[in-house]
Amino acid sequence: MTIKEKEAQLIEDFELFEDWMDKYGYIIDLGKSGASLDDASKREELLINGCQSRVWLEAEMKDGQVYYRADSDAVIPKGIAAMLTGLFSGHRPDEILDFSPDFVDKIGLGQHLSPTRSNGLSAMIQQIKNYALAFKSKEA
Amino acid sequence: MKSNPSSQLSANSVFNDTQVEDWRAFFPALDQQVNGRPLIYLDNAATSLRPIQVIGAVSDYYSTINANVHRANHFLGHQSTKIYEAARQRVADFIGASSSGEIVFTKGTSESINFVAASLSEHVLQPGDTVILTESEHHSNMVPWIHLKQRLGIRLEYIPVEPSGEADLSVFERILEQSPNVRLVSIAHASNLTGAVHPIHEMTRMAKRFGALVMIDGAQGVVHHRVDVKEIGCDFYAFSAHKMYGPMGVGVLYIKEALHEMVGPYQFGGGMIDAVHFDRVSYAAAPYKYEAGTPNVAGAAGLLAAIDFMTKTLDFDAAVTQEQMLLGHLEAGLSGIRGVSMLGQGGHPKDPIVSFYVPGVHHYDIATMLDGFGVAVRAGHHCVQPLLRKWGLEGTIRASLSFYNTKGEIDAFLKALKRVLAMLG
Repeated sequence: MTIKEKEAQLIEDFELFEDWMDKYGYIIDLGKSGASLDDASKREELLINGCQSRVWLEAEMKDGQVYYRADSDAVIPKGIAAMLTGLFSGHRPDEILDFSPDFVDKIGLGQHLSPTRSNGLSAMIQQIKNYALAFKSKEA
Repeated sequence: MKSNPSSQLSANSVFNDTQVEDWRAFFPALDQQVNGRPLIYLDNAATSLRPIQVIGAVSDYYSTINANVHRANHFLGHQSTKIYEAARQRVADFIGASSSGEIVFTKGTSESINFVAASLSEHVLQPGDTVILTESEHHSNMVPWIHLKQRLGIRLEYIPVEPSGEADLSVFERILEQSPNVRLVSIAHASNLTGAVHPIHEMTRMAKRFGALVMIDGAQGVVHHRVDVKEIGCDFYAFSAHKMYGPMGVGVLYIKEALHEMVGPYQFGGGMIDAVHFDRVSYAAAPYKYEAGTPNVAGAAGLLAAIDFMTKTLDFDAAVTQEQMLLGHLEAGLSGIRGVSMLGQGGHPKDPIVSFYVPGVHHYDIATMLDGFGVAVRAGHHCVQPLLRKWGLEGTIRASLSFYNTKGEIDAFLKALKRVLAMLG
Protein backbone atom coordinates (compact mmCIF):
# COMPACT_ATOMS: atom_id res chain seq x y z
CA MET A 1 0.00 0.00 0.00
CA THR A 2 1.13 3.55 -0.59
CA ILE A 3 1.07 6.05 2.27
CA LYS A 4 -1.98 7.62 0.67
CA GLU A 5 -3.80 4.30 0.69
CA LYS A 6 -2.89 3.70 4.31
CA GLU A 7 -4.22 7.14 5.18
CA ALA A 8 -7.52 6.36 3.44
CA GLN A 9 -7.73 3.16 5.49
CA LEU A 10 -7.08 5.08 8.70
CA ILE A 11 -9.82 7.59 7.88
CA GLU A 12 -12.21 4.71 7.15
CA ASP A 13 -11.34 3.07 10.48
CA PHE A 14 -12.33 6.24 12.31
CA GLU A 15 -15.73 6.33 10.66
CA LEU A 16 -16.78 3.62 13.08
CA PHE A 17 -16.69 6.21 15.84
CA GLU A 18 -19.13 9.07 15.79
CA ASP A 19 -18.51 10.52 19.21
CA TRP A 20 -15.32 12.60 19.65
CA MET A 21 -14.55 10.83 22.92
CA ASP A 22 -14.70 7.49 21.14
CA LYS A 23 -12.32 8.83 18.49
CA TYR A 24 -9.88 9.84 21.22
CA GLY A 25 -10.37 6.40 22.74
CA TYR A 26 -9.38 4.82 19.47
CA ILE A 27 -6.29 7.03 19.18
CA ILE A 28 -5.28 6.05 22.70
CA ASP A 29 -5.80 2.37 21.88
CA LEU A 30 -3.64 2.70 18.76
CA GLY A 31 -0.94 4.14 21.00
CA LYS A 32 -1.23 1.31 23.47
CA SER A 33 -1.02 -1.38 20.81
CA GLY A 34 1.71 0.34 18.81
CA ALA A 35 5.42 -0.20 19.36
CA SER A 36 6.91 1.47 22.42
CA LEU A 37 10.43 2.43 23.25
CA ASP A 38 12.11 0.80 26.20
CA ASP A 39 13.56 3.13 28.82
CA ALA A 40 17.08 2.78 27.45
CA SER A 41 15.87 4.00 24.07
CA LYS A 42 14.19 7.11 25.49
CA ARG A 43 17.28 9.26 24.99
CA GLU A 44 17.40 13.08 25.11
CA GLU A 45 18.45 13.28 21.45
CA LEU A 46 15.28 11.54 20.34
CA LEU A 47 12.95 14.07 22.00
CA ILE A 48 10.86 16.20 19.68
CA ASN A 49 10.58 19.92 20.46
CA GLY A 50 7.22 21.61 20.21
CA CYS A 51 5.21 19.12 22.25
CA GLN A 52 3.72 19.79 25.65
CA SER A 53 4.46 16.22 26.71
CA ARG A 54 7.60 14.23 25.98
CA VAL A 55 7.66 12.52 22.60
CA TRP A 56 10.57 10.36 21.44
CA LEU A 57 10.99 9.39 17.81
CA GLU A 58 13.65 7.16 16.31
CA ALA A 59 14.16 5.98 12.77
CA GLU A 60 16.25 3.46 10.89
CA MET A 61 16.78 2.63 7.24
CA LYS A 62 16.45 -0.99 6.00
CA ASP A 63 16.57 -2.03 2.35
CA GLY A 64 15.97 1.52 1.16
CA GLN A 65 12.91 2.02 3.40
CA VAL A 66 12.57 4.04 6.57
CA TYR A 67 11.09 2.53 9.75
CA TYR A 68 9.96 4.66 12.67
CA ARG A 69 9.30 3.97 16.34
CA ALA A 70 7.86 6.51 18.78
CA ASP A 71 6.68 6.83 22.35
CA SER A 72 5.32 9.49 24.71
CA ASP A 73 4.63 9.92 28.39
CA ALA A 74 1.13 11.17 27.52
CA VAL A 75 -1.36 8.80 25.88
CA ILE A 76 -2.88 11.08 23.22
CA PRO A 77 0.48 12.09 21.70
CA LYS A 78 1.50 8.42 21.92
CA GLY A 79 -1.57 7.55 19.88
CA ILE A 80 -0.91 10.30 17.37
CA ALA A 81 2.70 9.13 17.09
CA ALA A 82 1.50 5.55 16.52
CA MET A 83 -0.81 6.75 13.72
CA LEU A 84 2.03 8.67 12.11
CA THR A 85 4.64 5.94 12.42
CA GLY A 86 2.07 3.48 11.06
CA LEU A 87 1.52 5.69 8.04
CA PHE A 88 5.13 6.51 7.28
CA SER A 89 7.00 3.31 8.22
CA GLY A 90 8.13 0.99 5.47
CA HIS A 91 8.39 3.57 2.73
CA ARG A 92 11.17 5.12 0.70
CA PRO A 93 12.43 8.60 1.74
CA ASP A 94 11.05 10.22 -1.41
CA GLU A 95 7.52 8.98 -0.80
CA ILE A 96 7.74 10.17 2.81
CA LEU A 97 9.01 13.61 1.81
CA ASP A 98 6.30 14.03 -0.82
CA PHE A 99 3.40 13.13 1.43
CA SER A 100 1.33 15.71 3.35
CA PRO A 101 -1.02 14.09 5.87
CA ASP A 102 -4.58 15.20 5.65
CA PHE A 103 -6.32 12.89 8.05
CA VAL A 104 -6.83 15.01 11.17
CA ASP A 105 -9.76 16.93 9.71
CA LYS A 106 -11.07 13.85 7.91
CA ILE A 107 -11.22 11.73 11.04
CA GLY A 108 -13.36 14.45 12.60
CA LEU A 109 -10.87 15.83 15.08
CA GLY A 110 -9.92 18.95 13.12
CA GLN A 111 -11.10 21.27 15.89
CA HIS A 112 -9.45 19.22 18.60
CA LEU A 113 -6.12 18.33 17.07
CA SER A 114 -5.36 21.03 14.51
CA PRO A 115 -1.63 21.22 13.73
CA THR A 116 -1.49 24.79 15.00
CA ARG A 117 -1.97 23.51 18.51
CA SER A 118 1.06 22.35 20.42
CA ASN A 119 0.04 18.70 20.47
CA GLY A 120 3.20 17.88 18.64
CA LEU A 121 1.43 16.80 15.47
CA SER A 122 3.28 19.14 13.13
CA ALA A 123 6.52 18.75 15.08
CA MET A 124 6.27 14.96 14.73
CA ILE A 125 5.56 15.16 11.01
CA GLN A 126 8.48 17.55 10.58
CA GLN A 127 10.83 15.22 12.43
CA ILE A 128 9.63 12.22 10.42
CA LYS A 129 10.49 14.13 7.27
CA ASN A 130 13.82 15.31 8.71
CA TYR A 131 14.83 11.70 9.24
CA ALA A 132 13.75 10.80 5.70
CA LEU A 133 15.75 13.68 4.30
CA ALA A 134 18.82 12.68 6.30
CA PHE A 135 18.59 9.08 5.09
CA LYS A 136 18.06 10.25 1.52
CA SER A 137 21.18 12.45 1.64
CA LYS A 138 23.22 9.56 3.03
CA GLU A 139 22.05 7.35 0.17
CA ALA A 140 23.09 9.87 -2.48
CA MET B 1 -11.42 51.39 49.80
CA LYS B 2 -12.24 49.83 53.11
CA SER B 3 -13.37 46.27 53.75
CA ASN B 4 -17.07 45.66 54.41
CA PRO B 5 -17.45 43.13 57.26
CA SER B 6 -21.08 42.41 56.51
CA SER B 7 -20.09 40.78 53.24
CA GLN B 8 -17.88 38.18 54.90
CA LEU B 9 -18.55 34.62 53.88
CA SER B 10 -21.12 33.17 56.27
CA ALA B 11 -22.42 29.67 56.73
CA ASN B 12 -25.72 30.79 55.26
CA SER B 13 -24.29 32.28 52.06
CA VAL B 14 -26.06 31.02 49.00
CA PHE B 15 -25.13 31.36 45.39
CA ASN B 16 -27.00 34.40 44.15
CA ASP B 17 -27.92 33.13 40.70
CA THR B 18 -29.71 36.27 39.53
CA GLN B 19 -26.78 38.45 40.48
CA VAL B 20 -24.38 36.17 38.65
CA GLU B 21 -26.53 36.19 35.51
CA ASP B 22 -26.50 40.01 35.58
CA TRP B 23 -22.72 39.99 35.89
CA ARG B 24 -22.30 37.40 33.15
CA ALA B 25 -24.38 39.51 30.78
CA PHE B 26 -21.56 42.06 30.73
CA PHE B 27 -19.09 39.54 29.27
CA PRO B 28 -19.72 38.77 25.58
CA ALA B 29 -17.00 36.10 25.40
CA LEU B 30 -18.95 33.93 27.84
CA ASP B 31 -21.65 33.49 25.27
CA GLN B 32 -19.92 31.06 22.93
CA GLN B 33 -19.67 27.40 22.13
CA VAL B 34 -16.46 25.41 22.11
CA ASN B 35 -16.47 22.04 20.35
CA GLY B 36 -20.25 22.17 20.31
CA ARG B 37 -20.60 22.87 24.03
CA PRO B 38 -21.05 26.05 26.05
CA LEU B 39 -17.70 27.51 27.02
CA ILE B 40 -16.70 26.82 30.60
CA TYR B 41 -13.86 29.28 31.13
CA LEU B 42 -11.75 28.27 34.11
CA ASP B 43 -8.47 29.88 33.09
CA ASN B 44 -8.95 33.31 34.67
CA ALA B 45 -5.52 33.36 36.30
CA ALA B 46 -4.03 33.30 32.81
CA THR B 47 -6.27 36.10 31.68
CA SER B 48 -9.71 37.26 32.66
CA LEU B 49 -12.49 37.97 30.21
CA ARG B 50 -13.43 41.57 29.48
CA PRO B 51 -16.78 43.31 30.03
CA ILE B 52 -18.44 45.37 27.30
CA GLN B 53 -17.53 48.51 29.22
CA VAL B 54 -13.84 47.80 28.69
CA ILE B 55 -14.22 46.59 25.11
CA GLY B 56 -16.25 49.72 24.39
CA ALA B 57 -13.70 52.01 25.98
CA VAL B 58 -10.92 50.69 23.76
CA SER B 59 -13.11 50.73 20.69
CA ASP B 60 -14.41 54.24 21.46
CA TYR B 61 -10.88 55.49 21.90
CA TYR B 62 -9.89 54.30 18.46
CA SER B 63 -13.15 55.58 16.93
CA THR B 64 -12.82 59.08 18.31
CA ILE B 65 -9.93 60.47 20.34
CA ASN B 66 -7.20 58.38 18.84
CA ALA B 67 -4.30 60.83 18.88
CA ASN B 68 -0.84 60.74 20.36
CA VAL B 69 -0.35 62.09 23.86
CA HIS B 70 1.50 64.96 25.49
CA ARG B 71 3.15 66.51 22.49
CA ALA B 72 0.23 67.74 20.39
CA ASN B 73 -1.28 71.19 20.33
CA HIS B 74 -4.51 70.10 18.77
CA PHE B 75 -7.86 69.09 20.22
CA LEU B 76 -7.51 65.34 19.77
CA GLY B 77 -4.05 65.38 21.29
CA HIS B 78 -5.42 67.17 24.33
CA GLN B 79 -8.31 64.71 24.62
CA SER B 80 -5.93 61.82 24.36
CA THR B 81 -3.66 63.24 27.01
CA LYS B 82 -6.67 63.89 29.21
CA ILE B 83 -7.88 60.33 29.12
CA TYR B 84 -4.39 58.92 29.55
CA GLU B 85 -3.76 61.07 32.61
CA ALA B 86 -7.26 60.38 33.91
CA ALA B 87 -6.43 56.67 33.72
CA ARG B 88 -3.22 57.31 35.60
CA GLN B 89 -5.08 59.13 38.36
CA ARG B 90 -7.71 56.40 38.52
CA VAL B 91 -5.02 53.77 39.00
CA ALA B 92 -3.43 55.88 41.73
CA ASP B 93 -6.75 56.09 43.58
CA PHE B 94 -7.44 52.40 42.97
CA ILE B 95 -4.29 51.22 44.73
CA GLY B 96 -4.01 54.02 47.28
CA ALA B 97 -0.93 55.74 45.86
CA SER B 98 -0.10 59.23 47.14
CA SER B 99 -0.26 60.75 43.67
CA SER B 100 -0.56 59.86 40.02
CA GLY B 101 3.16 60.65 39.71
CA GLU B 102 3.80 57.30 41.37
CA ILE B 103 2.00 55.40 38.61
CA VAL B 104 3.97 54.27 35.55
CA PHE B 105 2.22 52.56 32.66
CA THR B 106 4.06 49.55 31.30
CA LYS B 107 2.96 46.75 29.02
CA GLY B 108 2.32 44.39 31.88
CA THR B 109 3.57 42.84 35.12
CA SER B 110 6.52 41.14 33.44
CA GLU B 111 7.72 44.42 31.98
CA SER B 112 7.21 46.17 35.32
CA ILE B 113 9.40 43.64 37.09
CA ASN B 114 12.04 43.77 34.36
CA PHE B 115 11.94 47.55 34.74
CA VAL B 116 12.77 47.32 38.43
CA ALA B 117 15.46 44.69 37.83
CA ALA B 118 17.13 46.76 35.11
CA SER B 119 16.95 50.02 36.98
CA LEU B 120 18.13 48.61 40.28
CA SER B 121 20.95 46.75 38.55
CA GLU B 122 22.18 50.04 37.19
CA HIS B 123 21.71 52.24 40.23
CA VAL B 124 21.48 50.12 43.35
CA LEU B 125 22.56 46.49 43.17
CA GLN B 126 26.21 45.51 43.63
CA PRO B 127 27.85 42.09 43.28
CA GLY B 128 27.26 40.15 46.45
CA ASP B 129 24.06 42.00 47.33
CA THR B 130 21.10 39.80 48.23
CA VAL B 131 17.68 39.68 46.59
CA ILE B 132 15.05 37.56 48.36
CA LEU B 133 12.22 35.77 46.53
CA THR B 134 9.85 32.96 47.51
CA GLU B 135 10.13 29.48 46.00
CA SER B 136 6.70 29.84 44.42
CA GLU B 137 7.39 32.94 42.34
CA HIS B 138 6.24 33.05 38.71
CA HIS B 139 9.08 32.99 36.19
CA SER B 140 8.49 36.68 35.52
CA ASN B 141 9.54 37.37 39.12
CA MET B 142 12.38 34.89 39.08
CA VAL B 143 14.13 34.92 35.71
CA PRO B 144 15.00 38.66 35.75
CA TRP B 145 16.78 38.10 39.09
CA ILE B 146 18.51 34.91 37.95
CA HIS B 147 19.76 36.91 34.98
CA LEU B 148 21.18 39.49 37.39
CA LYS B 149 22.78 36.73 39.43
CA GLN B 150 24.54 35.58 36.29
CA ARG B 151 25.29 39.03 34.90
CA LEU B 152 26.05 41.02 38.03
CA GLY B 153 26.83 38.44 40.68
CA ILE B 154 23.98 39.24 43.07
CA ARG B 155 22.96 36.55 45.59
CA LEU B 156 19.50 35.02 45.45
CA GLU B 157 17.80 33.63 48.53
CA TYR B 158 14.49 31.80 48.43
CA ILE B 159 11.88 31.75 51.19
CA PRO B 160 10.60 28.16 51.26
CA VAL B 161 6.90 27.49 50.90
CA GLU B 162 5.00 24.76 52.70
CA PRO B 163 2.85 22.26 50.80
CA SER B 164 0.00 24.64 51.70
CA GLY B 165 1.69 27.27 49.57
CA GLU B 166 2.34 29.45 52.61
CA ALA B 167 5.73 31.12 52.95
CA ASP B 168 7.81 30.08 55.94
CA LEU B 169 8.19 33.37 57.79
CA SER B 170 10.69 32.06 60.35
CA VAL B 171 13.05 31.10 57.55
CA PHE B 172 12.39 34.50 55.96
CA GLU B 173 13.48 36.15 59.21
CA ARG B 174 16.62 34.04 59.30
CA ILE B 175 17.47 34.87 55.69
CA LEU B 176 17.00 38.57 56.43
CA GLU B 177 19.28 38.39 59.46
CA GLN B 178 22.01 36.29 57.92
CA SER B 179 22.26 37.50 54.33
CA PRO B 180 24.74 40.20 53.36
CA ASN B 181 23.33 43.48 52.04
CA VAL B 182 19.69 42.54 51.56
CA ARG B 183 18.69 45.12 48.97
CA LEU B 184 15.34 43.84 47.73
CA VAL B 185 12.57 41.47 48.68
CA SER B 186 10.42 40.69 45.64
CA ILE B 187 7.37 38.53 46.26
CA ALA B 188 4.00 37.75 44.79
CA HIS B 189 0.81 39.07 46.35
CA ALA B 190 -0.61 35.59 45.68
CA SER B 191 0.72 32.46 44.00
CA ASN B 192 -0.61 31.68 40.54
CA LEU B 193 0.06 27.99 41.23
CA THR B 194 -1.31 27.31 44.71
CA GLY B 195 -3.53 30.35 45.16
CA ALA B 196 -1.84 31.05 48.52
CA VAL B 197 -2.11 34.72 49.47
CA HIS B 198 1.10 35.87 51.11
CA PRO B 199 1.02 38.12 54.23
CA ILE B 200 2.58 40.96 52.26
CA HIS B 201 1.95 43.62 54.92
CA GLU B 202 3.85 41.64 57.51
CA MET B 203 6.57 40.54 55.11
CA THR B 204 7.08 44.14 54.00
CA ARG B 205 7.43 45.23 57.63
CA MET B 206 9.98 42.48 58.22
CA ALA B 207 11.96 43.49 55.14
CA LYS B 208 11.90 47.16 56.14
CA ARG B 209 13.52 46.38 59.48
CA PHE B 210 16.54 45.36 57.46
CA GLY B 211 16.42 48.35 55.15
CA ALA B 212 15.45 46.41 52.05
CA LEU B 213 13.32 47.65 49.18
CA VAL B 214 10.13 45.69 48.64
CA MET B 215 8.56 44.79 45.30
CA ILE B 216 5.17 43.10 45.13
CA ASP B 217 4.18 41.13 42.04
CA GLY B 218 0.48 41.95 42.13
CA ALA B 219 -0.55 40.08 38.98
CA GLN B 220 -2.90 37.86 41.02
CA GLY B 221 -3.46 40.57 43.64
CA VAL B 222 -5.61 43.49 42.51
CA VAL B 223 -8.26 41.29 40.96
CA HIS B 224 -9.24 39.60 44.23
CA HIS B 225 -8.09 42.03 46.93
CA ARG B 226 -8.37 45.67 47.88
CA VAL B 227 -4.85 46.97 47.50
CA ASP B 228 -3.53 49.95 49.46
CA VAL B 229 0.16 50.39 48.70
CA LYS B 230 0.65 52.84 51.56
CA GLU B 231 -0.79 50.34 54.01
CA ILE B 232 1.38 47.58 52.57
CA GLY B 233 4.38 49.89 52.71
CA CYS B 234 5.96 48.47 49.57
CA ASP B 235 8.24 50.44 47.28
CA PHE B 236 7.05 48.86 44.03
CA TYR B 237 3.78 47.18 43.11
CA ALA B 238 3.24 45.67 39.67
CA PHE B 239 0.11 44.38 37.98
CA SER B 240 -1.43 43.75 34.56
CA ALA B 241 -4.73 45.08 33.26
CA HIS B 242 -5.62 41.88 31.46
CA LYS B 243 -5.97 39.81 34.62
CA MET B 244 -8.43 42.32 36.09
CA TYR B 245 -10.90 42.60 33.22
CA GLY B 246 -8.84 45.22 31.36
CA PRO B 247 -7.12 45.00 27.98
CA MET B 248 -3.94 43.11 27.21
CA GLY B 249 -0.78 45.10 26.57
CA VAL B 250 -1.04 47.52 29.47
CA GLY B 251 0.09 47.23 33.04
CA VAL B 252 1.21 49.30 35.97
CA LEU B 253 4.33 49.81 38.01
CA TYR B 254 3.79 51.78 41.21
CA ILE B 255 7.03 53.46 42.33
CA LYS B 256 6.97 55.18 45.71
CA GLU B 257 7.79 58.87 45.27
CA ALA B 258 10.74 58.81 47.66
CA LEU B 259 12.50 56.51 45.19
CA HIS B 260 12.07 58.66 42.08
CA GLU B 261 15.56 60.16 42.38
CA MET B 262 17.26 56.81 42.87
CA VAL B 263 15.32 54.78 40.30
CA GLY B 264 16.58 55.68 36.86
CA PRO B 265 14.72 55.21 33.56
CA TYR B 266 14.42 51.75 32.04
CA GLN B 267 13.70 52.61 28.43
CA PHE B 268 15.03 55.65 26.65
CA GLY B 269 13.66 57.75 23.86
CA GLY B 270 10.94 60.16 23.01
CA GLY B 271 8.58 61.41 25.66
CA MET B 272 10.80 60.79 28.68
CA ILE B 273 13.25 63.64 28.10
CA ASP B 274 13.55 67.28 28.97
CA ALA B 275 16.40 68.38 26.70
CA VAL B 276 18.46 66.33 24.24
CA HIS B 277 21.84 67.27 22.80
CA PHE B 278 24.04 65.13 20.59
CA ASP B 279 26.08 63.99 23.56
CA ARG B 280 23.89 64.32 26.60
CA VAL B 281 20.31 64.30 27.79
CA SER B 282 18.28 65.52 30.76
CA TYR B 283 15.19 63.58 31.73
CA ALA B 284 11.62 64.60 32.40
CA ALA B 285 10.12 64.36 35.85
CA ALA B 286 8.53 61.15 37.11
CA PRO B 287 6.42 59.43 35.95
CA TYR B 288 7.15 60.66 32.42
CA LYS B 289 10.83 59.81 32.59
CA TYR B 290 9.77 56.19 32.95
CA GLU B 291 7.62 56.08 29.81
CA ALA B 292 9.46 56.20 26.49
CA GLY B 293 7.69 56.15 23.15
CA THR B 294 4.03 56.20 22.29
CA PRO B 295 2.10 54.57 25.11
CA ASN B 296 -0.82 52.17 24.83
CA VAL B 297 -3.35 54.94 25.33
CA ALA B 298 -6.27 52.78 24.24
CA GLY B 299 -5.09 50.23 26.77
CA ALA B 300 -4.99 52.87 29.50
CA ALA B 301 -8.52 53.93 28.55
CA GLY B 302 -9.54 50.28 28.85
CA LEU B 303 -7.82 49.97 32.23
CA LEU B 304 -9.69 53.04 33.45
CA ALA B 305 -12.94 51.39 32.35
CA ALA B 306 -11.92 48.14 34.06
CA ILE B 307 -11.29 49.92 37.35
CA ASP B 308 -14.61 51.72 37.06
CA PHE B 309 -16.26 48.39 36.33
CA MET B 310 -14.72 46.79 39.41
CA THR B 311 -15.40 49.70 41.76
CA LYS B 312 -18.68 51.14 40.49
CA THR B 313 -20.55 48.57 38.41
CA LEU B 314 -19.62 45.46 40.34
CA ASP B 315 -20.19 45.00 44.03
CA PHE B 316 -16.57 44.04 44.61
CA ASP B 317 -17.10 42.49 48.02
CA ALA B 318 -20.00 40.40 46.74
CA ALA B 319 -17.88 39.32 43.79
CA VAL B 320 -15.02 38.20 46.03
CA THR B 321 -17.47 36.37 48.29
CA GLN B 322 -18.91 34.61 45.26
CA GLU B 323 -15.40 33.57 44.18
CA GLN B 324 -14.67 32.12 47.61
CA MET B 325 -17.91 30.13 47.58
CA LEU B 326 -17.12 28.80 44.12
CA LEU B 327 -13.62 27.91 45.32
CA GLY B 328 -15.05 25.95 48.24
CA HIS B 329 -17.44 24.13 45.93
CA LEU B 330 -14.65 23.30 43.48
CA GLU B 331 -12.31 22.01 46.17
CA ALA B 332 -15.05 19.94 47.77
CA GLY B 333 -15.86 18.41 44.38
CA LEU B 334 -12.25 17.64 43.50
CA SER B 335 -11.56 16.06 46.87
CA GLY B 336 -14.35 13.60 46.09
CA ILE B 337 -12.76 12.34 42.88
CA ARG B 338 -10.51 9.34 43.37
CA GLY B 339 -6.95 9.88 42.21
CA VAL B 340 -7.07 13.68 42.26
CA SER B 341 -4.38 15.32 44.37
CA MET B 342 -4.66 19.06 44.98
CA LEU B 343 -1.79 21.47 45.64
CA GLY B 344 -1.93 24.20 48.24
CA GLN B 345 -4.36 22.45 50.55
CA GLY B 346 -4.68 23.95 53.98
CA GLY B 347 -3.48 27.34 52.81
CA HIS B 348 -5.50 30.33 53.94
CA PRO B 349 -6.32 32.87 52.70
CA LYS B 350 -6.47 31.61 49.16
CA ASP B 351 -7.24 33.10 45.78
CA PRO B 352 -9.79 31.11 43.71
CA ILE B 353 -7.10 28.96 42.07
CA VAL B 354 -6.77 25.19 42.34
CA SER B 355 -3.91 23.16 40.86
CA PHE B 356 -4.22 19.40 40.88
CA TYR B 357 -2.65 16.31 39.39
CA VAL B 358 -3.58 12.67 38.97
CA PRO B 359 -0.67 10.28 39.48
CA GLY B 360 -0.23 8.08 36.43
CA VAL B 361 -2.25 10.36 34.14
CA HIS B 362 -0.53 13.05 32.11
CA HIS B 363 -1.87 16.57 32.55
CA TYR B 364 -1.71 17.13 28.80
CA ASP B 365 -4.13 14.27 28.16
CA ILE B 366 -6.56 15.53 30.83
CA ALA B 367 -6.59 19.09 29.54
CA THR B 368 -6.95 17.98 25.91
CA MET B 369 -9.96 15.83 26.71
CA LEU B 370 -11.52 18.49 28.96
CA ASP B 371 -11.29 20.87 26.02
CA GLY B 372 -13.58 18.49 24.15
CA PHE B 373 -16.19 19.30 26.79
CA GLY B 374 -15.74 23.02 26.27
CA VAL B 375 -13.74 23.34 29.48
CA ALA B 376 -10.80 25.75 29.45
CA VAL B 377 -8.21 24.97 32.09
CA ARG B 378 -4.46 25.30 31.98
CA ALA B 379 -2.03 22.38 32.01
CA GLY B 380 1.69 22.35 32.49
CA HIS B 381 4.18 24.13 34.69
CA HIS B 382 2.31 27.46 34.90
CA CYS B 383 5.65 29.31 34.85
CA VAL B 384 6.64 27.86 38.21
CA GLN B 385 9.05 25.15 37.06
CA PRO B 386 11.53 25.19 39.98
CA LEU B 387 8.91 24.65 42.67
CA LEU B 388 7.07 21.96 40.72
CA ARG B 389 10.37 20.18 40.14
CA LYS B 390 11.11 20.41 43.87
CA TRP B 391 7.72 18.86 44.56
CA GLY B 392 8.48 16.08 42.07
CA LEU B 393 5.90 17.15 39.54
CA GLU B 394 6.22 17.85 35.83
CA GLY B 395 2.95 19.67 35.58
CA THR B 396 -0.52 20.13 36.94
CA ILE B 397 -3.97 21.11 35.76
CA ARG B 398 -5.00 24.51 37.04
CA ALA B 399 -8.60 25.71 37.32
CA SER B 400 -8.87 29.41 38.19
CA LEU B 401 -12.16 31.12 38.86
CA SER B 402 -13.80 34.49 38.54
CA PHE B 403 -17.05 35.87 39.96
CA TYR B 404 -18.73 35.21 36.60
CA ASN B 405 -18.25 31.44 36.87
CA THR B 406 -21.24 29.52 38.17
CA LYS B 407 -21.84 26.56 40.43
CA GLY B 408 -23.35 24.85 37.37
CA GLU B 409 -20.11 25.34 35.43
CA ILE B 410 -18.08 23.81 38.22
CA ASP B 411 -20.47 20.85 38.42
CA ALA B 412 -20.15 20.36 34.66
CA PHE B 413 -16.36 20.55 34.93
CA LEU B 414 -16.30 17.95 37.70
CA LYS B 415 -18.56 15.65 35.71
CA ALA B 416 -16.38 16.01 32.62
CA LEU B 417 -13.25 15.38 34.68
CA LYS B 418 -14.70 12.16 36.07
CA ARG B 419 -15.51 10.94 32.55
CA VAL B 420 -12.07 11.89 31.31
CA LEU B 421 -10.32 10.14 34.18
CA ALA B 422 -12.48 7.04 33.72
CA MET B 423 -11.25 6.90 30.17
CA LEU B 424 -7.60 7.73 30.82
CA GLY B 425 -7.11 6.02 34.16
